[in-house]
Amino acid sequence: MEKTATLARELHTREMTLHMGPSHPAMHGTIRIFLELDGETVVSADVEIGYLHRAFEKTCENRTYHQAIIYTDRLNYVSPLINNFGYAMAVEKLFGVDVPERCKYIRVIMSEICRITDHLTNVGATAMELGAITAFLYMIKARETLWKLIEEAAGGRGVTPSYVRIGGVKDDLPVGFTDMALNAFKVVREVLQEVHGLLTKNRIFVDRTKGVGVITSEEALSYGITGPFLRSTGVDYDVRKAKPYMVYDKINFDIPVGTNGDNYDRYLVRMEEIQQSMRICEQALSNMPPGPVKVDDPRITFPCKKDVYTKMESLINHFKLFMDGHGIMPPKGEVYQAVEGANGELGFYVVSDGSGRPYRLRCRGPCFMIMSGLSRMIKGGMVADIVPTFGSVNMIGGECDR
Amino acid sequence: MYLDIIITLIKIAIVFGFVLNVAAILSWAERKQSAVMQDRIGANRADVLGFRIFGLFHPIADTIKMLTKEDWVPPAGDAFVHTMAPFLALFTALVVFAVIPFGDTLHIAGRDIPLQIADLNVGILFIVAFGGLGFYSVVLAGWSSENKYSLLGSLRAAAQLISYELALGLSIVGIVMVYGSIELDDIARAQGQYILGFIPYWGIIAQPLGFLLFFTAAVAETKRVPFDLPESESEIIGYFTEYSGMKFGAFWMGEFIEVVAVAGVVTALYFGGWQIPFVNNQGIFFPGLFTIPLPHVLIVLLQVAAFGLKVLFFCWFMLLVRWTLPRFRYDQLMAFGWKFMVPLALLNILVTGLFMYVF
Amino acid sequence: MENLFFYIAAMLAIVSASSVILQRKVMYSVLSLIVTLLSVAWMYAMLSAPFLAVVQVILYAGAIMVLFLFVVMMLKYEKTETFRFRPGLLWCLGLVAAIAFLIEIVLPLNMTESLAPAATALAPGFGSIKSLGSILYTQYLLPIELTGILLLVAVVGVALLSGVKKE
Repeated sequence: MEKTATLARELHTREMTLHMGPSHPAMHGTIRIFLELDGETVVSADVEIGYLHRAFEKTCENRTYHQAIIYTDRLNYVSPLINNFGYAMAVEKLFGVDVPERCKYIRVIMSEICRITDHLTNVGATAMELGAITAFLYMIKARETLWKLIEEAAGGRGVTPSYVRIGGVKDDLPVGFTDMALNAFKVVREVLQEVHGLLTKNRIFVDRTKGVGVITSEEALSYGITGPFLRSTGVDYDVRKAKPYMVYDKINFDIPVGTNGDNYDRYLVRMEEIQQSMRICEQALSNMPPGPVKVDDPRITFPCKKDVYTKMESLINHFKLFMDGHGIMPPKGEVYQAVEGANGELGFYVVSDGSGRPYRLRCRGPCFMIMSGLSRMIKGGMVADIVPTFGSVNMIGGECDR
Repeated sequence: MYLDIIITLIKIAIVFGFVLNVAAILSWAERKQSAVMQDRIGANRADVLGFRIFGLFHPIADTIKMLTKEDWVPPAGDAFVHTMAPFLALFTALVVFAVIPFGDTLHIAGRDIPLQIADLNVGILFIVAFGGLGFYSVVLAGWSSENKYSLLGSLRAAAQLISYELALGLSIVGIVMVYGSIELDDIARAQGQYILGFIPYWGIIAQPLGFLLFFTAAVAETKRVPFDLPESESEIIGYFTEYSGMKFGAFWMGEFIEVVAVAGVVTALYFGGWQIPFVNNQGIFFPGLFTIPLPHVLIVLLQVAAFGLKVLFFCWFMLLVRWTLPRFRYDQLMAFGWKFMVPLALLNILVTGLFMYVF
Repeated sequence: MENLFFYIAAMLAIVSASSVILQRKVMYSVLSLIVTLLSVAWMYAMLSAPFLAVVQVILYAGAIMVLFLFVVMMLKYEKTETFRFRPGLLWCLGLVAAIAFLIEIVLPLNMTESLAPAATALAPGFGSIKSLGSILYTQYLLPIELTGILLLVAVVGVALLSGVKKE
């Protein structure tokens, strides 16, 4: 009798604990999921983030307003320009200045190009993690043409362009940019067509993504989820429409929404957003007015190099803008500026105490909210479902952990 | 007696030479073909004295790399089983070639030499039996690694291999019924007939559904995309997570050898084996019109070449599939195997039986 | 030549069979059992019964042992009971049974004149699938069908037992 009891105790089944990540190919080295598995079913999941924490906010407190720009590059490093612009707009709001019209158009164009690269990367990577490596490489090919565009304009490629300056952008778009962009969009459209052929109606892909990682719109809202993730549940919240900034109110575009809030809808939403972004870019490129790309305000804008070397006033201006204790000094106050990042609402909350450095800079990374809902979405599913669900989160360590 | 042994040894050398070389080249072809499909250049860096020959040195470079890497056994694992598993993988993949006929009987110097290493009278069943033993390499590799990911991989592999072996076995039944033999040699020979005098009576024409089922199940047995769940490098990394050096290389080679094996079996069963349409023992002929006689040795050589080409075609086709499709999920794979493949295979048997009864 | 192969197979079977009970690790026992089954299959193949040999490999090595392996894989085998030599009543009874079994095997062997196989030539096609099938489906049709029904019942039973538990 006792022996049977011992045997029963020794033979009882129990969940297997599995640490997925950080050195796991699908976890990008940036998260760890503690899994309790019953066979292949996830009984419980505990998501641990923070592997890419770089103290972005604290670092910015010790940098001048301009120096912080390069740190914003590294937030969402797949679409760095959107972070650039969001941050710059927050600081401009502190100053209460309005950038020239052409600059706004340029920012719209570059933001949308970045959004495309981000979505391409995300959809491609999700497909790759499901085993469809070819779709991934097609998308990377398309992304390459877009990165060339960014390189032409900003000098840096996809990850660290630092294109923005407070009060404008670094430079005007290069000559022939419109043609290059239109050619690049042609490539993107071809690739989208190919990927649609490879994935959208592919039975295996649909089975792997449909009904997987489902989240309802109420839950998504309660987690604070925004962006394509929220839109896939049927809520048409988009900062570009809800609170238009730059010149989004002058441009026609649609917000694709899904219905089920599953991975497949997120995939479709992203694919459609790429189309819409190209539509926005094309309109912006044709409607872009001529004019300066930086605000004409000596408190903010750097004088051009030629003037610095030849004119006394410019040299003094330059000196004051860069000298510690002088620099760009916005008035006291606090602002919140949100832009529609590739993953959702990307907000910058800046508190100024009137000095040359932000008193406090807080970034609302959209990934963070989605990641808090991740464990709920993967629970009850299978191990294999973690990969597409996590892929559709588009977790960018730089943005989530900051 | 001794001559027989020597002839058998020569046949083994030819077949294994072909198989192992094709498997090695497949590792290059996989990289190169995927590169072509994905607008990349692909492997082209390894060079010998400045010659690169499209990166064909890469298999050699890979082998050297794997041979010189540290061979690591997990301290918590089981060293003996851990070492044995890759050998089993190679063995079960290679032994299948013993029964695949690669040419018609060669008459030379008064001897009849069947171009098949071992003419067993259980033919197909031998393939099913020893192909099924491949299961052990996977499961033992996962178990002996003492790694949860490996274990998950080997569990998936076990379930998958057993499930698809059933569909595989059932889909073969159709072809056995049609040609009335389970000896691969007989089946290959029977595929030299013609329907209506001019359509080659190949397995794919006699058993189109059976071909699809067999091919799908066979790809599933090779554990490659879309059936690469035991490996699925982005989910559970696979049953050979804890393997390094040439032991990993053995699994890798084993996979490519399995590809060649599947290509060989599919060719032998469904694509006429070594038959070339409109070429028979006498030479090129067109039914009812003319015959161009050819020397016997040339015909046999042509047939062997035809067999090799068909095998290469199927290898290429499997690489194509591998770089096109995403991967199944575990439960979907099981559902596909049990609820789709097996009933269809049974239906195929039924329909084949009805046809044979009626006609 | 054939004798040599037979002795190799027989030795392999005996060594691996004793290894099944002597191994301390359960996994090794299972692996030894697989080797035993394969060497028996080898002997079948040498006794002009290739079909039986292949079926032995497919069913025993390929399917039944897989289940054994599955179970053993899931157990943490350090905790399983290791082999202990502890004579008791059961052990004595086992010894008696073993000796009786040995005598039972050896006696008939001694009675026959030699160990050489019977000199009668086998009929052509003996042991082939065709002959086996025709015997099974004519002479032994009823047992075959009954076995089939039994297996079907077992399959249905398994489906019922494993399906009902889901809540």
